[in-house]
Amino acid sequence: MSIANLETVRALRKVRQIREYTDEPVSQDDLNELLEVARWSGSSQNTQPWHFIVVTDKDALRTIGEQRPNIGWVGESPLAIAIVLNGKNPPSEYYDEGRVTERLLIAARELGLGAGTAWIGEEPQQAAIKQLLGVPEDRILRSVVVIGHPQPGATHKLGRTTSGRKPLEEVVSFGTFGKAASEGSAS
Amino acid sequence: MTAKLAPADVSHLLRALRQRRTFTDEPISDDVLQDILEVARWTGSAKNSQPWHLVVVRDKEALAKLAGCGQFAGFLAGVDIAIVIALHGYARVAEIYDEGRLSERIMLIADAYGLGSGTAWFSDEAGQATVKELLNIPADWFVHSAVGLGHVPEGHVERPGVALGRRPLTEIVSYERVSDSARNT
Repeated sequence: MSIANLETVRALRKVRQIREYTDEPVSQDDLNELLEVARWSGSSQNTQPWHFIVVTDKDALRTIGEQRPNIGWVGESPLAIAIVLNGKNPPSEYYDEGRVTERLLIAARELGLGAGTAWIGEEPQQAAIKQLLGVPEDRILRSVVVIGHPQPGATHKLGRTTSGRKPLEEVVSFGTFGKAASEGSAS
Repeated sequence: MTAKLAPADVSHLLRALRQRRTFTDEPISDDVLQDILEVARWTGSAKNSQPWHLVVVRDKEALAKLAGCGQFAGFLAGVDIAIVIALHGYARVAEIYDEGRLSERIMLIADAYGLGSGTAWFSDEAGQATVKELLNIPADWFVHSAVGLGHVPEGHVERPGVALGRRPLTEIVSYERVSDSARNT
């Protein structure tokens, strides 16, 4: 692995959700690259338990954005990738959904784009969007990754949440739960 | 914002990651471990809930015990470090998605450092209970996976237990609405 790649991945720390976009469409080259990245994501037992729907139709994007009060920004975006899960092994598929989402967020940033995730809502909202996008009832569709060119100065809209992260001491233990590195149990 | 990369560079980096389960005895340096944990710490999560606690395990005896806690955990006996992911368990369905995001980052940063990584699963409740007891994780937390990390033997080719490769884009992508062929697969 080259230093260049290392620097790129270290930029992972700076990947943030972007929810404000310009009107500029996502180019076909960039979209193809994003889809290739999604395609190569790892999954449990390499089941690849997904199907991706690229949505650029304004009415469809607006309808998705109307499903929950907090996701209206989807309706103002140029493109969303809906992640459809097979629904055969939900817990494991949710983990894989998280993995492919993370890759898409990272890839979008590295392409100079911005991306955010939107949760469609509860069962009735999910059912409505499945119908809108022609998704069979037995599959799961609960999130979309929204992608576009970031508005200059666009920042993560905090809503009810706070930004930043808990300090390492709070989220990491060494050896056993609650034990700090300084207690010398890691090796 | 970093400079925009050529699309090919992005895909090269992100496509190359593969699960590894065979490692050398060479330890991962503390600096590298610190960086991996720092990248993990910055992972996004639903409403920024950061619903996790990571337990870093290097003790060989503990790793051997963890290896016995699940059908797909055996390789942990040979890793240098296992990062066991403990989830709060308040909203398990959302937390498992966040766990996937977190794991993906750990594996990508490890790959960037030239390390190998793999996901271990503690699939059944008995195994999960043993992991919690072994690592002093509160009983009401949820634990079912760990990321194993280490240096990969030079030239070693992993023998996968499953078919390699990926389905073609035409099979996994639809535009605007699910294609008829995708509906029937």
